[in-house]
Amino acid sequence: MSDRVVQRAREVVWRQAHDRVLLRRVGDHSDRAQADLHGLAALAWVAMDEPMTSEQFIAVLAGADLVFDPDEIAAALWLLIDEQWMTSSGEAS
Amino acid sequence: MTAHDEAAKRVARVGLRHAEEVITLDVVGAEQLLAWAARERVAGLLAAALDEGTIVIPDEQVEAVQHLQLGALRTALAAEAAAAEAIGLLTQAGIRCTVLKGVASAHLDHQHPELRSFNDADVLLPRGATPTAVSVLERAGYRRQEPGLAPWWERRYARAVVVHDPDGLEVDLHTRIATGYFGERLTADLLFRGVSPTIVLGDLQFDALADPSRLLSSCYAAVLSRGSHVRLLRDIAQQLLVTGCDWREAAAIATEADGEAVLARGLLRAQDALDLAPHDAFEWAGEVTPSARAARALELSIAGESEGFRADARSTLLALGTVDRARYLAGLALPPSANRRARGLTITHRVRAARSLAASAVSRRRDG
Repeated sequence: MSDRVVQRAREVVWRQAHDRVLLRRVGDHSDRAQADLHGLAALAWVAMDEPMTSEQFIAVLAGADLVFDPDEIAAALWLLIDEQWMTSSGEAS
Repeated sequence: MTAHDEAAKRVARVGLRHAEEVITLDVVGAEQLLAWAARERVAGLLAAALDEGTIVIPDEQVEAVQHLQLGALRTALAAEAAAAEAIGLLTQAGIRCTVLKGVASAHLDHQHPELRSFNDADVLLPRGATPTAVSVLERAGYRRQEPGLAPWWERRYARAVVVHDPDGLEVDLHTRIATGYFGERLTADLLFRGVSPTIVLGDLQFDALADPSRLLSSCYAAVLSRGSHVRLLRDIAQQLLVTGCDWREAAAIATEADGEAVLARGLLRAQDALDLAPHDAFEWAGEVTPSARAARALELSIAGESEGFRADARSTLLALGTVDRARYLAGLALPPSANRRARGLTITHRVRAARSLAASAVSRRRDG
């Protein structure tokens, strides 16, 4: 996981609220078309303006004085990938 | 001016001025402000004013503002997804289109899109594209709000058609940015003039209207559409003062479409409503005198508040030549049966309505 590049799924539009990130998939009219992200998942979404590895994400968090357990970060990213809100591919350059 | 009125003005112009004095509202004042923000769909601006600290409300009502903003964000996001899907489908079908008003302003003019709330998606199509666009969207599960007039009439004269996506979200398909005379005169060639910025929605990228055309579009919407328009007036201020839209270019486009008075009124309304500092654009606007036809169309726009489509139709006639007037009225007089049934109208009723339109057009020509 740590060397896989993670990025936002491209067909998603989103907004940042005071305590969460709202997601909506374009062209999807099913029950899975929208989601609210909280906590670490919301932070991951906001941070990933550019694709990055989980290690790079940890560095971004550290730069903002936020420290999380790497396992928690990996779990949050896997959940986002599993729900197809994010995608992962290749290795970091 | 009450504390609530002053606070509302402050919300409408949040971020546009430095060093605003702090306004503190009591529970009643805060409730009034919340109700106003909900009505005017400016929850994002209200939340920004609280964040900025220029408006202070009781702690127990901060949560209500957050709740209001969350609802507004969900609605805007749904409308934005609908816009993105519609633009994608129409582009694939070879129809050049873009977004107007909320979606465009949220992404191109505001510091972040959360500041601009909107309830529906406004898509601009080329004139003549309405029937094809509706067919494309219907094949994807969209439903038209009501059966249309004859396709030949819609290709030539329809200003906007409302469709709903499979989730029931409203997408307005515009071929003109305003109803009546001014919408008819402002052609797509004029609107698409200049360098177009790119909007990115999900995996879709497409051209928006250039900055001066967006300013013009906001002024047309604020002046010529019905209802209250705080968010549109904020768009005007934002585009003029923050985006730095070239208002002189907007004026040049407006001149070609006999719409200087609309641009001028939009600018002056924004200055007045938001209490904005002097600017060359406002000075120019204060000196604009409408042409005789533009003055008549502005009167009809005001009449439209009570008369509705009848006033809009009379305004449209001002822009049409003799043959087009006859065609326009014939299409209104003889709608397809599905349209008549949906609106509970008989042919006799429609012909009578169109006859009175024609009579008023003749008497206006005689008078003027």
